[in-house]
Amino acid sequence: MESEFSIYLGLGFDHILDINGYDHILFVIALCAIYQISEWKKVAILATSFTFGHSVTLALSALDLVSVDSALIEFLIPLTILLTALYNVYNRRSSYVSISIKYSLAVFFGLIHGMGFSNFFRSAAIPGIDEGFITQLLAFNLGVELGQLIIIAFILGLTYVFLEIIKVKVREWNLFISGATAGLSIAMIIERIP
Amino acid sequence: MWITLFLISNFWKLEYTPLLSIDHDFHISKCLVEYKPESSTFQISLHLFLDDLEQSMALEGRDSLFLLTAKESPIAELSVSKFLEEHFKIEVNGHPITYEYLGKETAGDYIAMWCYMEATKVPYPTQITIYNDLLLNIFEDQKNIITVIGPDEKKAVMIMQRGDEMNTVKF
Repeated sequence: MESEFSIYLGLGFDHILDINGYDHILFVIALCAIYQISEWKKVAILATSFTFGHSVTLALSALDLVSVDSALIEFLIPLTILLTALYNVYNRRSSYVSISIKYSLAVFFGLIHGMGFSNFFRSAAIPGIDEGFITQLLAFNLGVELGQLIIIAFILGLTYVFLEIIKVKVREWNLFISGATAGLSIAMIIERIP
Repeated sequence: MWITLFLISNFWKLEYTPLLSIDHDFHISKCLVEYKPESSTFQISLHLFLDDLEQSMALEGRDSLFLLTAKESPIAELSVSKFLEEHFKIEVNGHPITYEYLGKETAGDYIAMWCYMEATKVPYPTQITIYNDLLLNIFEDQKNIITVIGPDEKKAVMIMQRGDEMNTVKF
């Protein structure tokens, strides 16, 4: 039999990688897929910023310290993808200021995604049982981070192939990734209007 | 432009969300099975999404129940009770036990419900086996999570999914 920790770790892992609800994957793509392999530090900071944001609200919301209407969150999540994609297109030069803005966006949008994760988590967690709830929360969050690492590894690999091997221009790759993620997010936004 | 957007959004629905509403894009149930040594009972609380449950029950001919609404069918309670009996089974020390369905109530901001059951005269459990295939027939990604509190507050967690509908814990 599986342990409580491994079960909730698996739930977090499967949740972020769930192909039927790929909004989180799409956000990580919009956030990270426009950087070359040489810019891996930016990707690491962006991913950490996003993780920080979503861990905060996942915990706060799981512990009932923050509560936001779930339909509103489901609507805001694709909006974060669209805004990130638009910012990619607008942000032609990767200056210090522009990347700092993007780090801040990653934290802020992470806060929104964390409340989305908590909607799922709360459907799976049994509250009120002493330390078990905290175990479940930590394991679930760790599972989400592991899943996120896999997405990022995949994205960096894909970007490497297109930019370094096929020699697609950075700007063109940026427009392709941003356009694709924006298009998909617009469809989700329309579907989720509260 | 709006027609294009409309087409995109509907194409989307057809392709990716054929069965479910936008209320929740995941399929999960959770359950607490708690052994109470002082009364030799199992107290069971089961959390299910209402729309998923109604969809699954309708497939077995138990439709138009309008659970937890003003127009709830008079046979709703009996139907839920029978449905649970078929899809949620408990064995203690290798022997099946029966439980009584007590009732239900709405839960949370998501459209879900809690069902409450109780088994009485439960022998002291050294081994608990639970069979739970609720909703597994309709959703490929359905996961049923069960926390079992055994004697001496010992805890075990189980997860049921397609192909893995039964779990046993020894205390």
